[in-house]
Amino acid sequence: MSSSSSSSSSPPCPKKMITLKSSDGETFEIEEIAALQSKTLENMIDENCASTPIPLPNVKGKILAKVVEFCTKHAEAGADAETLRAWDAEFVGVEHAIVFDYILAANFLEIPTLLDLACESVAEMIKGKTPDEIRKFFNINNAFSPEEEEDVRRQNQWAFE
Amino acid sequence: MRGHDRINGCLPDELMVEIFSRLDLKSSHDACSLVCKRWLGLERLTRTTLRVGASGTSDRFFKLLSRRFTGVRNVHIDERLSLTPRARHVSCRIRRRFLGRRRHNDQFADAALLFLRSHDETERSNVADVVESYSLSDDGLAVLGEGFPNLEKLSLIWCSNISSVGLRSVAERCVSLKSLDLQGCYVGDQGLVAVGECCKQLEELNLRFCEGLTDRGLVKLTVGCGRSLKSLGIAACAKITDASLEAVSSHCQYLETLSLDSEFMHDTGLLAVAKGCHFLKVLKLHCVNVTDETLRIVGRCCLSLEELALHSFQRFTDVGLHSVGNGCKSLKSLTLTDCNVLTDDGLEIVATGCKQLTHLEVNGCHGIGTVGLESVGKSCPNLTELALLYCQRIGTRALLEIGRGCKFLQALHLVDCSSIGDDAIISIAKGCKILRRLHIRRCYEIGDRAIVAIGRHCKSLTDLSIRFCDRVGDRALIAIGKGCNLTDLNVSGCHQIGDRGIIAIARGCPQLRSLDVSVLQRLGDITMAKLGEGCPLLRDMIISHCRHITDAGLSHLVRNCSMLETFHMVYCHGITSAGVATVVSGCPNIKKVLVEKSKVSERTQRRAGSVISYLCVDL
Repeated sequence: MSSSSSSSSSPPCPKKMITLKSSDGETFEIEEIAALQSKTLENMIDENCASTPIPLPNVKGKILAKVVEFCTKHAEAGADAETLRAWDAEFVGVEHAIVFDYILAANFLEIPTLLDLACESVAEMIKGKTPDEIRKFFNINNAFSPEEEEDVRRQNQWAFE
Repeated sequence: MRGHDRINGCLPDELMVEIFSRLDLKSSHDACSLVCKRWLGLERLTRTTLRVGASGTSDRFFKLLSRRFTGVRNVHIDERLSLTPRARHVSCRIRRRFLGRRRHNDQFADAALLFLRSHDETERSNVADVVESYSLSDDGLAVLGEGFPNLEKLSLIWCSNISSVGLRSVAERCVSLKSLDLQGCYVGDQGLVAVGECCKQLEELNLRFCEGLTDRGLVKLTVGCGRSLKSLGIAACAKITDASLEAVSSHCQYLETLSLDSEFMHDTGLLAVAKGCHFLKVLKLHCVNVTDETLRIVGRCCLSLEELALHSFQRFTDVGLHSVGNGCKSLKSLTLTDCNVLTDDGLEIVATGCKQLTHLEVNGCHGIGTVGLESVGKSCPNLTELALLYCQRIGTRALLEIGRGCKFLQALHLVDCSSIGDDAIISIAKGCKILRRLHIRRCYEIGDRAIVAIGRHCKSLTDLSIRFCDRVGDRALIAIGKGCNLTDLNVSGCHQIGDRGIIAIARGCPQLRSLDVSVLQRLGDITMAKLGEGCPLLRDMIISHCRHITDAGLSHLVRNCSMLETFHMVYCHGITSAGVATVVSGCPNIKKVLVEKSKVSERTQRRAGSVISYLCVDL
C-alpha cells in the first residue's frame, strides 16, 4: 500500500508490478501475479494496457487497499488451506457496510474468490434470523401490509421445497 | 447507525441474488422473502424447485407462482400430498377399505383409483368431488408451461385429471426439459410423441402406472430424444412391450440406466437393449418372463455395468450369474430379491469375478446359504454394505468370513436370519472397525455378548437397530452407551431392555436424534426424564405400546428436547390428552404426532393449525 509516482517504463526486475489508481486519486502497487486474480485486470495485462496506472473509478482508496492485500495474500505460494481460511475469516470480520464494498469491488474487478467470500459472509449474517431480526440488523424498513405479509407466508407454505 | 439501509442502497439486484443463492435452508429463504418488497422479488428469483401438493394445483395458483418464482427449473406436483382435512378423512376411509396392512403411498394411490371406479355412486361422487376440485387440469399444465419456459425437471404424480393435450402444451413451451416423471396419470401416446418432437434435451424419463401409454408413444419418443436419453424407467405400464425396448436399443445409444418392472417384457426386448446400449451402467429388472438368456448377453455385452438389481426371477439360474461374474468386471452393486432358483454357486462366481463389489443385498433367496457368503468374505475386500434379509440358511460361519475379509464394511442389515449367532457379530465387530450402521431384526440367536462386542470395537457406529431380539438386554445398551456416539437407535420389541439400558444411552449418546423404544414394557418416566437431560437433539420419538410412561414423563422429556419433530405414542395407557397437549405446545418444530383421536382435545386440535401437515390419524 504505497503512494509512489507512476513510472511509464518498467525496467527488468524480478517482480513485475502494476499500478492501480482509486477513485479518490490514491495509487497502489500490486504484483502482476496477484493482479491476475482479477479477470478485469488480467484482460488489461493481456492487452498490454497495464504499463500506465490503471484508473478504477468505482473503487475507493480505503477499499482498494484491502483488495490489493487480499489478492496478494491469495497469490502467495505455499499457503496452506487452514491458515488461508483463518485469514479470510478475519478479513471479512469487519463492519458489514465494508463487506458490501468488498462485494461491489470484487464484482467490478471480477475476483471470484473475494466475491464468494464476501457474499458467503453476508449470507451467514442472514442465516438463522427471523425477518424482523434481519430488518433490525440491516436497518431495513418493512414495507409490507399485514395482508401482503400473510399472502407471502401462505405462498411459502404451499410451495414447499 | 440507526436509519441507514446500506444493503439496499449499495448492492444492485444481481449481487443480492448472489447472496441469496448461498442460503441453503428453506427457512432462510422464507425469512428473506418477508423482509421487504425488494427482497421478496429477488428471493423468488433464486427458488429453483417447487413442490406442490393437491391443494395448490389451480390455474390461478400457477399464474401467481410463475410470476413470482421466475427462476424455477424443477416442478414436482404430487396429488397425494397435503389434502384438506375433509379429503383426508375420505381418503382414510378408502385406505381402510382396500388395504389390510400398512403400505407405502403407491398402493394407497392405487386404492384411491380403484375406489373411484367402484359402484357405490354416492360415496363415489363424494370422493370424486374432493379429488377433482384439487386436481391439476390440462389448462393448468398450459399455464405452467407458459409460466416456466426454462423448466428442466417436471414430475406429475397421480394427477388424474390431465391428458396428452396438457402434456403437449408443456412440451411445446418447455423445450429445455431434461427430466420427466409421470406416475399414475392417464396421459396418452400423443403426449409422449409431443415430448419426443419438442424436448430434444430429455435425459431422464420415468413412467409408472401410465395405463394410457402404448409402444407407439414411447417409440416415437425414443426417435426424438434418443441422442440425449440417459435414464429410462418403466413400471406397471401394461401396454409397453418389447417393441419399445427394441426402439430404445436402436435410438438410445447413450443410455446408462434402465429400470423395468413389467410382466410384458421378455428376452427379445432385453437382449436388444443389452446388445445396443453399450454404455449401460445400471440395470434393474423386475420382469418375471426374462430368463438366463438375457443375463448371458448382459455378461457378454454390458461390460461397463456397475449396478445390477434382479427382483423375483424364477426363470434365472446360476448360469445367468455365471455370465455376469465373468463379464461385468466393473460391477459394484448387486441386489438379488426373491430369486429362489439361485444357489451358492452363482453367488460365488460373482464374488470371485467382480472384485470391485461394494454393495450386496440378498433378500429372500432361499437357495443361498453360508458357502455363498463365505466366498463373498474371501473375495470382495471392498465391500461397504451388506444386507441379508430373510436368509435362514445363512449361518454364523458366513459372517465370520465377512468379518475377516471385509475391513471396509460400513453397513450391515440382517433380517430374520435365525441361524446367525453371537460369534458372527463378534467377528464383525472385531474385523469391521469402521462400521457405521448395524440393523438387526428378529435374529433370535443374537444376545448381549454380540452387542457388547460392538460397543467395544465399533467406535464409528452411529445407527443401531436391534428389533425383536429378545435375548438382548440392558448390559448390551450399557456397552453401546460407553463406546458409540449414536444418532439413531431402535430397540423396539427387545423385551429385556428396561430403564437401566436406555438411561445408559441417554448418558452416553448426546447426539441422539431418533429413538424407537416401542413395545418395551419395562420403561418408565425416569427414562423419559433422563433422555430429556441427556439428548437435547432428539427429533423423532416412538414410544408406542409403552404402558408405564405417563404425562409426567412426557413433560420432563419435552422440557429439554425442543427440536422434536415426530412423536408416535399409540397404545400408551398412561398418557392422556394433557400429555398430548404438552407435546404439541412444547415443541415448536413438531410436524407429526401419532396418537388416538380420543386423546386430542379440541384445544390441541385448534393449536395444531395449518402449520402441522397432519396431527391425528384415526386408527
